[in-house]
Amino acid sequence: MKFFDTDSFEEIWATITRNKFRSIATGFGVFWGLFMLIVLVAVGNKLKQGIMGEIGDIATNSVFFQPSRTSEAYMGYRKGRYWDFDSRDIELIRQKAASVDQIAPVLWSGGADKNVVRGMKSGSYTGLGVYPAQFEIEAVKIESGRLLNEVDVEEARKVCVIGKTVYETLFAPGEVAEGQYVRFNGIYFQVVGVVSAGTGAMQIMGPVEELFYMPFSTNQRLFQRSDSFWFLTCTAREGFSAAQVETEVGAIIRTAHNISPTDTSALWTLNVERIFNMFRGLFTGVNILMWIVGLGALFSGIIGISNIMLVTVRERMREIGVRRALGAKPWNIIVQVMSESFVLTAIAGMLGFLVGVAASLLVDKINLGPGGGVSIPVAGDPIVSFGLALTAMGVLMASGLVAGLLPAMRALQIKAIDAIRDE
Amino acid sequence: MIKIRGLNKTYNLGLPNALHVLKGIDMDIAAGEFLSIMGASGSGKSTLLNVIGILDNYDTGEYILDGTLVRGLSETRSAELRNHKVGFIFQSFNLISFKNAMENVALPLYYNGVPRRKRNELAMEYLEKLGLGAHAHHLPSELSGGQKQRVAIARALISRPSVILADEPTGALDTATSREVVEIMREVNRTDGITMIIVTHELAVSKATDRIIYLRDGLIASDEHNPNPVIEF
Repeated sequence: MKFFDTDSFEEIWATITRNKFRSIATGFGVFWGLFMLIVLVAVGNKLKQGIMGEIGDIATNSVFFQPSRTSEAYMGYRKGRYWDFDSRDIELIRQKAASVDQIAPVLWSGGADKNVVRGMKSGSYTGLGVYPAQFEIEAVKIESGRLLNEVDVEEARKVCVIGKTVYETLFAPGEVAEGQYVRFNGIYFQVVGVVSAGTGAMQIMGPVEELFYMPFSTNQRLFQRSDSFWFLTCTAREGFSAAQVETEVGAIIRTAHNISPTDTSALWTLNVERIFNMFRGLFTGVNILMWIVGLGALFSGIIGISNIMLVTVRERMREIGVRRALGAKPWNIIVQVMSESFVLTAIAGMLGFLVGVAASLLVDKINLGPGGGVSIPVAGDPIVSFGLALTAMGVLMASGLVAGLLPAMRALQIKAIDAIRDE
Repeated sequence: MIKIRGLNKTYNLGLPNALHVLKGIDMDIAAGEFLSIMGASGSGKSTLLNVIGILDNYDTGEYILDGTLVRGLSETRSAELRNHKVGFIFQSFNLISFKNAMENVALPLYYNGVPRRKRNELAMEYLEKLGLGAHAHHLPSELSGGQKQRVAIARALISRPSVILADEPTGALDTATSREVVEIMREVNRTDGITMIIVTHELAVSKATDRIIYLRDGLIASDEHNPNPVIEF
């Protein structure tokens, strides 16, 4: 006895189409369930892709530090004291912090109006004094030339790497920037490279394209005339976590600046890894929620099918009884009822799946991010993955069978003798 | 062909409302017989027919159909036996409404695993035989009562059973059609040699059979040979 042959299919089709409206109404439940499941999971994935894409290539093992006012009196110092990072901190971290790989202090030089000039062209841009590691942490993309290197920092060379927008402002399209001189806050720098943002759109120091990068030491000497700086990034060495970096570097800095170990507001830190994990947890949660909601919708559709199949079985008691009398085995009856619910579920579900995929593709085209800051890359992983499609189909098959189970059991209880009785 | 010894059947056995329907029936029916079972309602004739048709079980005694002891069989096994050995004709025809005449006739062969083409050919053959070739593709709702019963007869015949059980086959038909149906059954009995058991309360039907068994209160009241079967309606 084959489970599926032309005859039984014709029979199933005949019974399904006999009461079209009812079949459609019933099938709609499953259609909607699968549609919801696909759309919800797809939207969840998209959201995740979008936000995770923001973090992108930024070194997720980095920790940012910034000095802030102390909130506790400590070692004879009053509370509410202002303090800064200084070069000694870099040395101390380099010597003592076993968990730290790269150290990247940053120095801002504010942009006065039209502070970047080349010939007749000018613009207003922020200058950053950086270590070479900064480019790695921000995962910038080299458009042309090179990045700043250790020698540039050591010798405090007057060289710069400019953002793409800065280049476009100062240079004619196609013009070679490298080797050219531009003026920043009145001092001439030689351009060594042009950069743009990498795949990750999140920017720590502002848009990469609009920055004017110079060696940390150069900035210090020309514009600060002090040893202070106010932003520091450290990345974790292989085998260490960002949390370890956060603790270790935090302790070193606190000791160096006489800050109470319990004064949390005196040193602002941001652990990218922790945020990354938080988002990852969040999206796992969102994903689970969407599966629950989607499966819930599908489940109510299945109950609908099961319910209507029970009614159908009741209506067809006599027919089933006659079949039994003519020699239908219990197995034949089970197969008939189960495959009827299976076919109904499968057709409705397939439609739901296809429409769901179509709707997801539509959603894919719509920018889900809040204006400006967050934009979702259109090209990414396919919105409905093969795995999701496979899972959905599996769920569908199972639900079709489950929906038919109870009605089939009910049909089995019908005895030929009761059904064909004429009284 | 059919051998029944001391058959007892009680509904609601062990309950206060227990109903002893068959109280020890002994019966032998040879192959090719054409007989009728008569009795008032409540006499147990329908129950007996159900037992013979393996639609119902019995409590004590034994029932041997075509050499097979029918007792405590699984649902699957009894379905198989019914499919191979028993044909049914019902008062209300019991055709499947959404299948045409040919498909209805072919249905027992479907459960016998006969390929589609083969069983449709056979169904056509039987329909032709019963003069319904032209109506093969009509739905039951497009057929008259007599035509429906002829389709049902064709359906009972198609699996070439050992015995055909007819439960009030003329109950829903007018006189002329009843006559026609009984004639066909006689004809089938004669040409195919299939044992035919008709349960009826119509005298005219029983008069057309070779042997008449009367049931009363769950016992055989009389078992007579009818030397001159006549079809008279």
